[in-house]
Amino acid sequence: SNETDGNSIPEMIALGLEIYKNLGYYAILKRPSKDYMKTVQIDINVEMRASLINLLVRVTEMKKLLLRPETLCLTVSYIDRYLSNISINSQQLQLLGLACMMIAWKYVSLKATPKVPVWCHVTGKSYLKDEMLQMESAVLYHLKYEMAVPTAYNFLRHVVWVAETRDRDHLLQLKCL
Amino acid sequence: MAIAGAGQLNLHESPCWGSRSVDCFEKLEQISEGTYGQVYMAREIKTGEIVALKKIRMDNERGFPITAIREIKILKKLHHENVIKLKESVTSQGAKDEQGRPGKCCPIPINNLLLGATKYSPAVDMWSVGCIFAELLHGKLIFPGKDEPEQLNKIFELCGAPDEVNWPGVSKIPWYNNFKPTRPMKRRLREALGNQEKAPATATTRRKGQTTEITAFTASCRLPPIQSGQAHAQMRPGPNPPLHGSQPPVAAGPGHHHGKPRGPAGGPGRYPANGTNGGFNHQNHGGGYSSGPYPPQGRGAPYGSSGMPGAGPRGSGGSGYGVGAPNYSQDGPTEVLVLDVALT
Repeated sequence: SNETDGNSIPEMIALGLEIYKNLGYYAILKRPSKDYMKTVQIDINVEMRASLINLLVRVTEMKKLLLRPETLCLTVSYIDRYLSNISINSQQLQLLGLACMMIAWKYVSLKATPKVPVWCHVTGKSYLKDEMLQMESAVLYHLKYEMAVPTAYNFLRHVVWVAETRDRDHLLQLKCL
Repeated sequence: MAIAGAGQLNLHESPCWGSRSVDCFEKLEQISEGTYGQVYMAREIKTGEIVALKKIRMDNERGFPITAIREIKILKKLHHENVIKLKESVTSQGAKDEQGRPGKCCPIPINNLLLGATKYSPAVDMWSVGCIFAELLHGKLIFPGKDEPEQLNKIFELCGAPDEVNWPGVSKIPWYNNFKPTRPMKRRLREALGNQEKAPATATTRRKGQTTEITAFTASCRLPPIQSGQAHAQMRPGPNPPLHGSQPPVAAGPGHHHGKPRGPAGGPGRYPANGTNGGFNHQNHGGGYSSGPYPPQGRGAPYGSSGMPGAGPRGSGGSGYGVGAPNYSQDGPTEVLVLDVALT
């Protein structure tokens, strides 16, 4: 990894610990509700969510979208946070998923996102552009525009970083874990 | 956050986002037009409260701009008397408006990174802060480049071209040789920004009081990376801080014109920085600008007295703030710093 370039090992340890703590703090703060399917949702259930996520995983694999791996993690996080508070019907579930993915795409990538119609037609189901834009606004509003949340991806990256560094420096490993 | 109750599910209703329509406000006049949309002075019809309404341009092809998402999020988090408060967001047909007092979101040119450096250091952040201060003073973008080479060129034009003398090590930065300017360029930051009279029409009393400090800081935000510690020291007010101790010489301006009579803000010709390539008339200003330290009165003048615009001339049209809007003069500064973190 070239991430340590230019920084001393003690600096990296301090930074790494700080980042890890911060990630943990926000992960808990932004955690979706555990039982929203029972307490909030009426029209959708666990199986529907599962098939939505499966669908999004397939979308992730579509080369033309150039998705980065953390996009999917963020998307799922947005979906769960939205559903923790807002009841939606099954017709809208996929729209929600795509809108969340569109936002995550914007957040993760520095390039311009694919145009809205691409998102509307990325799955077999077609949505109107306005529907997508409305859903996007709804997600942003209900998530309070707080789109930068830690996901499993961030933690995994951190663990991988520590594991990589471990070969180089045992001391670092001990201090970071 | 409201949780939709059992009876509230409605297949035909658009998703409820609980916010009001922009029709709750009556637009009074356009205050300014920013990078991401126009800002209006408006009155809430129900309460009569004067607010600023910032219209965010929705990208019809790509939806909500990520920059606007960041701006709203950050504004929501900031609670400070000197930072404008975002009151709520409202919608108009198909578009999303945001109400509060206007924020300012500026793309931040980052010199080192533009030249291909990969290490993100405190110096980079200090550069960004300096740029924001400079933009506050200037009232608009200071480096409005359309692409990276143009942006770099604008930086060089204002801050001088970097070389091994004023920035040791610069020639080792990956793209330096591709982008280094072909002709020598002198630093003229102080000439462009050091004059308080030129502060933007949107400036408000309290902020103006601080302009001298900010200017000092702006001037010190030079091409060579500066350490954050140094920068803090430079931000402190006080007579003649050792601005030039170990730093390369800067073309010092004649103070900040504290002692001079203040006329109405000058015509458009007084802001050369937005011009295109070249043509900065160094010679015209040249005489006293390029040599010598600050005249004592430049730094020593009381910040408050001469810096306050009060009811003084603000330049002709276009200055929305304070005109017929008592809220603004009471609440003080209404500009916001929004740091765009797109480069992480």
